[in-house]
Amino acid sequence: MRDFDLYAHTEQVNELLARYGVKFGIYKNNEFREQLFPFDAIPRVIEKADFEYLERGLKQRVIALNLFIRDIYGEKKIVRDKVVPEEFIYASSGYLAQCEGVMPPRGVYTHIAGIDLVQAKDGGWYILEDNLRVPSGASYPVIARELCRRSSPKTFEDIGVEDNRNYAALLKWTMDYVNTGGHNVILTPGRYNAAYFEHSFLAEQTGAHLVSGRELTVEGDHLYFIDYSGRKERIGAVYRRISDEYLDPMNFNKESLIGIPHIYDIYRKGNVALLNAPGNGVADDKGIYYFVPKMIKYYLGEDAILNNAPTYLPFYKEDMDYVLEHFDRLVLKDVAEAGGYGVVFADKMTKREKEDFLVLLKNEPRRFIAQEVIDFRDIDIMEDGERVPRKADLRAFVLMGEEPVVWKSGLTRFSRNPDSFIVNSSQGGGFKDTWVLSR
Amino acid sequence: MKTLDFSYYMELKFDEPVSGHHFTIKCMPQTTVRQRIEELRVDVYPNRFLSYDEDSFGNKCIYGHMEDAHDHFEIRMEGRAVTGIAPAETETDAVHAGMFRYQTQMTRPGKEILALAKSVSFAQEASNYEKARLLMKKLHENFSYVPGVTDVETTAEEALALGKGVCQDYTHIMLSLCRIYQIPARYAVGLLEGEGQSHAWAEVWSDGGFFPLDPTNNCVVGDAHIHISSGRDYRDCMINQGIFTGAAQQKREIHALVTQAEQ
Repeated sequence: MRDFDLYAHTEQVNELLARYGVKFGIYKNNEFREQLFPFDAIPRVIEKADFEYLERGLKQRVIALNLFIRDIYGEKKIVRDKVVPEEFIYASSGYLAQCEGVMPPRGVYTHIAGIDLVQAKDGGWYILEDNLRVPSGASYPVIARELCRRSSPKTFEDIGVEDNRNYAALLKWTMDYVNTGGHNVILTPGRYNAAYFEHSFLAEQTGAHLVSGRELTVEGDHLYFIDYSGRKERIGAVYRRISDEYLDPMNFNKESLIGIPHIYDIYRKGNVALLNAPGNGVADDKGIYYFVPKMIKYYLGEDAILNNAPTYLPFYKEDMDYVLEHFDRLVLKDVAEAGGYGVVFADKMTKREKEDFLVLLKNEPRRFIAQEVIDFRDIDIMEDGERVPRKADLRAFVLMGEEPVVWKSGLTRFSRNPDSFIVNSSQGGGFKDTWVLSR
Repeated sequence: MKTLDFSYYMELKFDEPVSGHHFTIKCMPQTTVRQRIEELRVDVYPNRFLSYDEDSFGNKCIYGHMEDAHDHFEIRMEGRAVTGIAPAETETDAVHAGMFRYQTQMTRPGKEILALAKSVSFAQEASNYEKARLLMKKLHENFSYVPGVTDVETTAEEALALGKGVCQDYTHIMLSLCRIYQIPARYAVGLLEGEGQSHAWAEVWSDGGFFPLDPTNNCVVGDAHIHISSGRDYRDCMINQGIFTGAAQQKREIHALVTQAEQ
């Protein structure tokens, strides 16, 4: 791939990112630290035709996931027809009984989906996981693009890259589509959250108020924002960046201080939209991931366009047999964990760890999935003036209004450690811009 | 069948005023295939707003808010019910009933409950209902009714380890035992003929319906119980749930009365 003038500006872009406060907060040893999210200027480039294929596959997947959530909290046909076993629903930590029988405004559950993919050495794409709760990260490539264009306008003169700075417009379109009357707000748990930078950035870009729970109040059957002068404004859509359990102490975790009492009651009545819908965790659990291709077939009558990584469910005896036989070459994932935690590569286990793990696996087969290790295609990063290959994934964003729209960019995260496959920013990785070519 | 007049009164007294009080109240019995509610009056005081809702288990809720300082809060409910119309609640289908097959934080068994469950043997082909009756009998033999030793946060396993408790504990242990045997079982709250407080019992899924069983009294629920709400455990069925601002200590007084109506 050719070198762009931009690469000479990597440091300048990183300095600008730091100056704009583009940070990522992490907790380590019970201490909150804000870290810069290191940016590498070499973009991931996706050809037009390749992206069109991803677009078709991602839309299909998100449509099916949305239908699945609606079905699970409604008729449960997919359970009745024995496509998904009951325990993968009811025993899942993401399933919320409080969501039974609740239809969100306009039937949309997955307003903002962050779908993680990897590209294998042979060029094929695989889905790694679906993030349907509070997926973060879209703001990073938006602001990086802006700063790159500013640092090196020359680079963008003739390459035909789709502009990704429309993310906020898409997000606003999504909020407006489900808004039940009133303003849009972005609800943040506050500045000690890993993605606080993103909350404030998106609020500014979409014209939504950035609010904390105590600035919102339920009165009668509606939600209001009370500003510093005591003026009340009706709220019709809440893009909430707090997780389900903290949303409403009267309906979920009673200890929550950052939630809004009774917000779930008025949501149930259809008087406010919550983005994303509570209860979506039932569809992005690592155990449910196995069933997504079956869901696509079941609801849409189509074969999945995008493949899952080959996955085994030890819950099924034949899969357990396979896992035990080929254990050493597989990666094992704990279905209850996220953010790169609870992932172990069998070939990196000591003999003792392996023995312990096998006992656990046999006792709690539903708790784990096993996957073939995909040989990712490496992407170069610049390290000390040299190009070196690193593992990277792609988080694609699909926003749902009347129909799903795939944002023509994405967050490419890479591992700075040459031996690691884990790219999560909570594990200290960096990011790249994702260029989708327009011709 | 019986016609029962019922009343329920709950009063909270705060030793210093509280404000910003949000509450959700699930105290209203509804007409089901098992009972017919002929009259119902509810009063919640004080409040700035009240609204009505139905939760995801089909329980009627009153929710509301009292912003201004107050040192007293009360719920009054009274009415007339015809009970014991049918033996089981048959409005739930098997797939939805499945959600009650899984343990919750309150019912998750430990070694005490697992041992008790193992000590019961069933005839081959026993129905869920027959199994539940045996489990209830076993529980009743191994647990004593003693008020004041457990509280609302006590789990099934903790209660069984103590060997004593109240209707909430009996019911949680019963749910835990049933769920160990893959039997869907619900927590139910209601009123029992006589005078006292609210009561709790279990509802066990068998042959297409939820059959109510009262482990505290080791009996089948007939027409002496008025059903108010059902859920996965106590937490889904709390009659009064509230949060408020203030460091006040609260004292709660409850008075329930159920008597046969004069015909």
